[in-house]
Amino acid sequence: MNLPLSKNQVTKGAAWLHANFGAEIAQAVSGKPYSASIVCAIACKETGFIWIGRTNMPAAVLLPLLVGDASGDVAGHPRNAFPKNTAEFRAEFGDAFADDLIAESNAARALRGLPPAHIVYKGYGIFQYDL
Amino acid sequence: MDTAWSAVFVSWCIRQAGASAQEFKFSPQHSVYVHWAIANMEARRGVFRAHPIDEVAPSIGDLIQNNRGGNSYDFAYAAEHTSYLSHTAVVVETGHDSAGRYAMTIGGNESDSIRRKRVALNDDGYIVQRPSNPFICVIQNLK
Repeated sequence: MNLPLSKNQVTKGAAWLHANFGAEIAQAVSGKPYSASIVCAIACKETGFIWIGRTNMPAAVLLPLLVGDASGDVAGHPRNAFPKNTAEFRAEFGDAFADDLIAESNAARALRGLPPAHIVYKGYGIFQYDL
Repeated sequence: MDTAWSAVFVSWCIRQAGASAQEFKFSPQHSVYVHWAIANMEARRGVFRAHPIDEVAPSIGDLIQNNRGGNSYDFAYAAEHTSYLSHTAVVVETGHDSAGRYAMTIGGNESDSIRRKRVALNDDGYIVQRPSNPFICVIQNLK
């Protein structure tokens, strides 16, 4: 199996994470059975393809754009977990909240060269926490 | 030969390499499987995922899509359309030479033949964009 990121990319990504969030990572893993390296590896795995090539951008600008996962709203990829799609989210939480999240999604899409869409993404942040 | 066969060649290569019809959308049009692979990337599923060229450093087995015929379709266009002229080729080698980092591709129907082409990469391994027949995406092969 091919790996999604090269060793050089992961090394660069880990350096960026330590430079920008080193103190927070150290605090988070203190007394835990997992290491800072594992935290960095998870971040690289989840969203590294978006930010590792864009580390010239300030972290504070980049972080809000790390939203993704259009499953349920693109052809061929149905979703079982809530929300199954944007329509289900809109029905549960209303237009205003849905439209706010769609605006976030479209800011992230613009960064990545994707056209605007009426999609609520389901993954948020550098670790892609589920909605 | 008047029939464009480059996408058939790529589809054949992917099939020969062991991908199933569930894993790759075999097609005589590059734009069809690129559109499908962008949906995979959007859903974060599947073993072939298309990314903009500034997100994936090409490696062996990936596909690189570019414009042809003087067009300049971009990634946004590819995400919304399934029928337009383009070309893809399979990455078979990456390395350094006297001109810098590169990816070597093999493509079909390149001057009606199967040929190798050199794609320039930057120091981080990403494709260097070009003004003529610009690159559109990299389909990452995770299989």
